[in-house]
Amino acid sequence: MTGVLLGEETVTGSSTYTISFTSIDQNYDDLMVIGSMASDTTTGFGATNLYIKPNSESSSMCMAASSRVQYSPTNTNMTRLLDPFWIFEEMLATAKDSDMSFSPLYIYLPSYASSTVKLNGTVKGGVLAGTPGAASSGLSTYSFEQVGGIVYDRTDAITQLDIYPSHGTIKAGSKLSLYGI
Amino acid sequence: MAIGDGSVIIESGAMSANTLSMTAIPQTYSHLELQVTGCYDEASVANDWLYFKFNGETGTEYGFHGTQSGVGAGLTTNNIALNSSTATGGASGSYGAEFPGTQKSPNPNGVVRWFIMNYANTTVQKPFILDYCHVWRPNSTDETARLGNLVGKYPTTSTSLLTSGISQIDVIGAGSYTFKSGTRYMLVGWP
Repeated sequence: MTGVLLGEETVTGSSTYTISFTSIDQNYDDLMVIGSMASDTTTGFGATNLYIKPNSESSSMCMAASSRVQYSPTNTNMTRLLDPFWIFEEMLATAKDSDMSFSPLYIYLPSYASSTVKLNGTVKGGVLAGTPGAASSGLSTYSFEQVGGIVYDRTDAITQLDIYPSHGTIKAGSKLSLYGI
Repeated sequence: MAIGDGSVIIESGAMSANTLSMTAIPQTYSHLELQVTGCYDEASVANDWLYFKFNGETGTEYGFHGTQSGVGAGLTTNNIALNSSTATGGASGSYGAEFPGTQKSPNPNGVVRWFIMNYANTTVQKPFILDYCHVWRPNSTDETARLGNLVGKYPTTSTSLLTSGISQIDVIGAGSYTFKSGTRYMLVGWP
């Protein structure tokens, strides 16, 4: 599989709420987003929710489902029906865990430029919560791994993706890249 | 890297010896993708761990967590939660993915796919997504399969190791296992 870089953002400051890929080139078969991301929130526990919004959607047209395993381990199957964005709960690391903890993110959207079929896609990621400098807490109860699927209940091509945490701003050091495949 | 740049195969080739070292990995890409396909050249092994190390690090800095499902001896359905050297049973830490031997099939095809994010940064952890699978069922009772989905990060606890990008990846067979002809790897740089 080969790909071409269509967009990238590296967060360096402390006030970025959203990473947005706009005016997405429509000339590829599929889209892929990969990178690392975290929230700077220090409230709650070591993980927060990931939101992905297509095309500045304002209606409840996004469905997400995932298999989530929590360290212990405790399995939880997550299903979110018809929100204005795709929701993956406890998908992102936060500064509550540590200043250097980041989550991996993989989003794959086949046939994203189609205007005749509804978009289906794959999302993977998770949190490995621990505290640097304290070896015994390298993996905590708040570690999650998720593999999920998404559906967009419209037949619109994807021209914009907004990716953001449910709480806090995006932590400096986060980096996401968008590729045409 | 600039908009319009394409992904690049940094190196690829056949695997045979117990250890493959990819050294002097360029620090100019945003993310890395490593694929390994094939099997161990071991007729007594259904499957065993395939280990990975970063930068030759031997400490317990290899945290990961996720699920493994499978069938076969000793495993019906399983979720694993792995961290540091616990995963691989040794004083020296590493990451692990299960990889097939030839006990169940003369030519099984294991697949490992690993995205290592923001690998060249020198300030924060390098998180990753590691997937692996292989399936073989020669008859109704003799079978082996593994499906693993893991997330993790490097380093797990050391702050001093943050100041280096990942410039070396070692792929190490379990025990003294070697790899059967046809086993291959590919390291891709994503701009």
